[in-house]
Amino acid sequence: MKHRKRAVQFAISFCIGLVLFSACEKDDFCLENPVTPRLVIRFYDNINRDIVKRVDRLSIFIESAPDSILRQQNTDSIAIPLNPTNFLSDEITSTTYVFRTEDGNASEKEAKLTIEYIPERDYVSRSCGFRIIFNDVEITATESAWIDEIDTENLTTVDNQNAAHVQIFH
Amino acid sequence: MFKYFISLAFVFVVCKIQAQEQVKDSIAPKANQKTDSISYKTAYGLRIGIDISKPILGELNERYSGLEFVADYRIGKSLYIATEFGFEEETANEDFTNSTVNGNYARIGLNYNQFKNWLDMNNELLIGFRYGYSTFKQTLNSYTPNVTDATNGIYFPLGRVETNETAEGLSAHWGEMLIGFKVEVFTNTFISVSGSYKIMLDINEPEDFKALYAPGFNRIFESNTGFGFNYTISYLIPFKKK
Repeated sequence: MKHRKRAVQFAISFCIGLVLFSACEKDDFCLENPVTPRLVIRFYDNINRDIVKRVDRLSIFIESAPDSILRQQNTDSIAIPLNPTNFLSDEITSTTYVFRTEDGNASEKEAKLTIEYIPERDYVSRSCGFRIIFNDVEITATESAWIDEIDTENLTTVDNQNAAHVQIFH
Repeated sequence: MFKYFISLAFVFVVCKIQAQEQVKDSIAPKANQKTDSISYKTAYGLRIGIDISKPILGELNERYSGLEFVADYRIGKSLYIATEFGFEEETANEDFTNSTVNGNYARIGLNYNQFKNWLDMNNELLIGFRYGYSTFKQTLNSYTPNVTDATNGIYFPLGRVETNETAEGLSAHWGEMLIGFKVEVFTNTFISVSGSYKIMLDINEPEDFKALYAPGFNRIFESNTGFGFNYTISYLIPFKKK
């Protein structure tokens, strides 16, 4: 009888332990944010090239799209979304972004950057699912009113947001 | 003089106790008598059964179906060779993916009974280990590319993609530790409950995806571990008694 009692106690504690251990695992919730990376641009001073220089009242929107990505903000770095829609094909996606800045006199200056890339599906994890990464990224300035130089050295694939992908000098 | 008589009486008391013990010792077994009449023989043989939790789970949960057969063979006083084999199909409906795993599996290993049975009882409190192997295929049914962004919101929304990407010829090897008990409910009929903790040793993953379940292994957690549960009814075919 004593043995049986011990066996039952043992079994019950084992079951409780099993439930406790299996209840919550870290792959239940997606903790990555964002999962699909954005293109990170950082703005630097054109003369002192090591110094970050903010852009006054910067607005960003996609040419031919009504919703702005950014509206009149003073910032020295910005993450812009790339279009992942055609991720199932190998075709190049081309998006033209308008970077508009206003100085104190409210005079606008517009720069247009055309960004080309090939979006691709990439598996992350059980809770996060698939994300889209962007390969063969190329940036050309079609109109560069206030931008002096764009540095895209080291830029081929956008698959994280750990560091700036593009440096813009102005 | 009476003083000595009383003391002498105490000496006899002692002698009497000694005498009793010696009497017990001096009974010698006779040649035609059974030497040990209180030893209970237990059956050795092949025990076969079925996991009854899996068909029930299949009825209750439309994303699951499976069947498992179990067998063990007693090789020592408290040692058994044990095996389980079966098939499973499980659909993983996650936040951003929906996939189905389908395949067969087998596990083999040893059970060690830790229970000291009373009289002629045949119950077991067992610990064991297994080596498991399964071959399966995994189909990605649909997915939604994860473009969510908690800080900035979604600029380019993407819809659900129905697909039918199947990765065939996948396989998994794992080891597991289990603990459970078996109770003889009728003569030679046993009910067994056990739980196991599994550690994946090697898995052949699908390309640009991951095996979320493996048949016989259950859900594969991010740390490549898993948990299993068995509820079986089995019948012992006794070969001999020892």
